Amino acid sequence: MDKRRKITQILITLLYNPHLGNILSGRLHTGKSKGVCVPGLNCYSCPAAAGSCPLGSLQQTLGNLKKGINTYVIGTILLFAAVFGRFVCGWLCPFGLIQELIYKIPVPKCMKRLKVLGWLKYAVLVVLVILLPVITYIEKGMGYPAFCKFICPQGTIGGLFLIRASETLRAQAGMMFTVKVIILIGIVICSAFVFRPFCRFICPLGAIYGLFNRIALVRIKVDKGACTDCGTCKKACPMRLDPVKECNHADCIRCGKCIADCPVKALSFSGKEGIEKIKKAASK
Amino acid sequence: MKKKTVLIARIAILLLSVILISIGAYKGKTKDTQNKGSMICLECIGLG
Ligand code: SF4
Ligand code: SF4
Ligand code: SF4
Repeated sequence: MDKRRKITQILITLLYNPHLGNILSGRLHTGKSKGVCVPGLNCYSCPAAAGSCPLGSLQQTLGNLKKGINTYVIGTILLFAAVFGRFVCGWLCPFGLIQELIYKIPVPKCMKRLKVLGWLKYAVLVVLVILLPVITYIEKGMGYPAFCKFICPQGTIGGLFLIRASETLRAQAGMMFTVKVIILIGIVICSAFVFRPFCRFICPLGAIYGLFNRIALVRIKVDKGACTDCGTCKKACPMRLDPVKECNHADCIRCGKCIADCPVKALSFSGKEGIEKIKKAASK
Repeated sequence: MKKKTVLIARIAILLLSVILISIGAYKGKTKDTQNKGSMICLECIGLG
């Protein structure tokens, strides 16, 4: 399962960012695909990006309300949330992959759940993604995307590509850019010691998807009759959850590690039997 | 949450999302998204 997931994550990263040549030229892709929001965090200001970032697009519409709210962006985020929940985080987000690769560096790992820090992402969502763009819009007539501006490490990566390619942009890089690069470096360093620190404690997109984990189409099911309470799944969970008790918790990224490790196959993705039945019927 | 409640909530959100996407597409909001994504966002990259 983990190999399949890694391959999916790599393919998705390439699918979101196929214009690799633009990294050298520092140009942005401007085609129609930029009208489509991808499910994961992927900056539309990255030269290689084919689509738009849902979180950036959400802040843009909240910061420019005179144009009317962009229901297309809100509907798209709701659609991803209702179908996938945080399955997006486990399988369909390049920044999740980046952190997982860094976590492979052999250094001592922090195995604590750090539950209190987990609330931070909801504060980031409310304050930086929703309130600040709206408040600055009301005050100045044009709001700014506060999460992008102050924190987003994915945007900083795109910025580094652009700054490398353009002297004009390099000249504009000031204090704010330095702060964002420091945040990016901090996240990279923490990712070696803590599993996906940005996803667990900061990312507002993960926070939105997590709120829908309970009702999303892709969920995890526990067969309580089969479960022997051996605790293997709890040990396997990289998000430090107890899958038997919290299989649809907002922090579950649907990585499937618990499902793969359960010795009695008591855990499964919901909807799997349906797919099996369809396959059987089709093969008859 | 009960199975039935989950199903109703899921269907309601799916319906709502389809309605919102359709209204947005009808009003040309995909073009707004495309335009925004086609220009360098200085705030996003930390320059604005
Ligand atoms: S800076 Fe981050 S949140 Fe903003 S558009 Fe880029 S990736 Fe999305
Ligand atoms: S929490 Fe955010 S950065 Fe992490 S995988 Fe989910 S969307 Fe991507
Ligand atoms: S509960 Fe299972 S699927 Fe969810 S994060 Fe933990 S190991 Fe992954």
